[in-house]
Amino acid sequence: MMKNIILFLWLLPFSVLAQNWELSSSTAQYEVKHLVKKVYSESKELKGKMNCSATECEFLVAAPIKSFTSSDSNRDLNMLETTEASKFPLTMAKGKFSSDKLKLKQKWTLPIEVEFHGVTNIYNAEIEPTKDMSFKSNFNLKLDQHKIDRPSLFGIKIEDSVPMIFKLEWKQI
Amino acid sequence: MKLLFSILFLISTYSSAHAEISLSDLGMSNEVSVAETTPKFESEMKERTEKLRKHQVLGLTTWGMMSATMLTGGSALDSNLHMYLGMATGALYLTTAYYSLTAPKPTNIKDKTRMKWHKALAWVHFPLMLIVPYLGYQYKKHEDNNQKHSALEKQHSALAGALYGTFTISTALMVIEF
Repeated sequence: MMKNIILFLWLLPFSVLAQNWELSSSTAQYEVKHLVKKVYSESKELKGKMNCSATECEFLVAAPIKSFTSSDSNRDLNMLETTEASKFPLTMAKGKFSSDKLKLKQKWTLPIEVEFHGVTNIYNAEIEPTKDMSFKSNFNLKLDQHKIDRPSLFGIKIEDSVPMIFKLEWKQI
Repeated sequence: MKLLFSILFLISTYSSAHAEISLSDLGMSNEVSVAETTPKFESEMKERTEKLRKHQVLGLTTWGMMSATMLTGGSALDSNLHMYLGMATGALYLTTAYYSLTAPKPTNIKDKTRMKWHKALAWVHFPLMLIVPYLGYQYKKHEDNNQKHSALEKQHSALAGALYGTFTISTALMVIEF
């Protein structure tokens, strides 16, 4: 009996503080830069989960490549061709961080593992809390590091660095 | 017994918080859907991308050539440069149109507003592209032979302006993000 009580008391703080979250109404945007123009594309089909214990949070966010759309459907098709979306249909980001970070009101940096075009790389994402469990996050994706053959116009390739901006809203499940 | 259930519940809550999150937890899969991997779809996409890339580059080149043709319009009766530039513009225009019209379009592709305008303007500049060079040719022929110009021939410059305007807007729609 005593053993059970001790075990119960030991597990209690973990279970009380353990929280699971999922994404709601979130967006991801990328910006492609070329010498003569800038192009924006956005996805609203992000899915994500975050599990937090008393000490650590772990998350996974993913989006289908084809869900990123710009104002030009032909350009979107070129993007699918360039990123070989038929072979690598999803892009995802995951990471772990201390649960305390969720309480921060100022910007903080989070190392995230990004899988894109079948290649995984680590980026330092800047996290900015906007309101309760809502965050704006950004980092610069490097196309060459993900073995993307950068498309060109008039012999000039698009820039290697692609700024990514995420607006993430988490709701408890 | 109650306490044992409570402990089991707590353990399951704790372990679920620590389980590695997978794509299946998000209801997603990295597996490729059959519809997107059929050889027909793949080859259509490749052909479309290639052709539209050529359409884009040739379209901008055509616009440059058309600009040069417009700039030499004033000296059209003094030299043949305007005529040759016009002929080159026409050839480039038709080649550009060829790549657009023959690019396969998978059924799930829907045109957005800018693309709809880009295509709609072709209904204006395409007939003008056929009429304007013909009127220019007729004008020059009649001028060289000291013959009278028809009323339509005299509209060569105005129609060329309309052609250049609609083609410029059509090109700008694809180049500039409004």
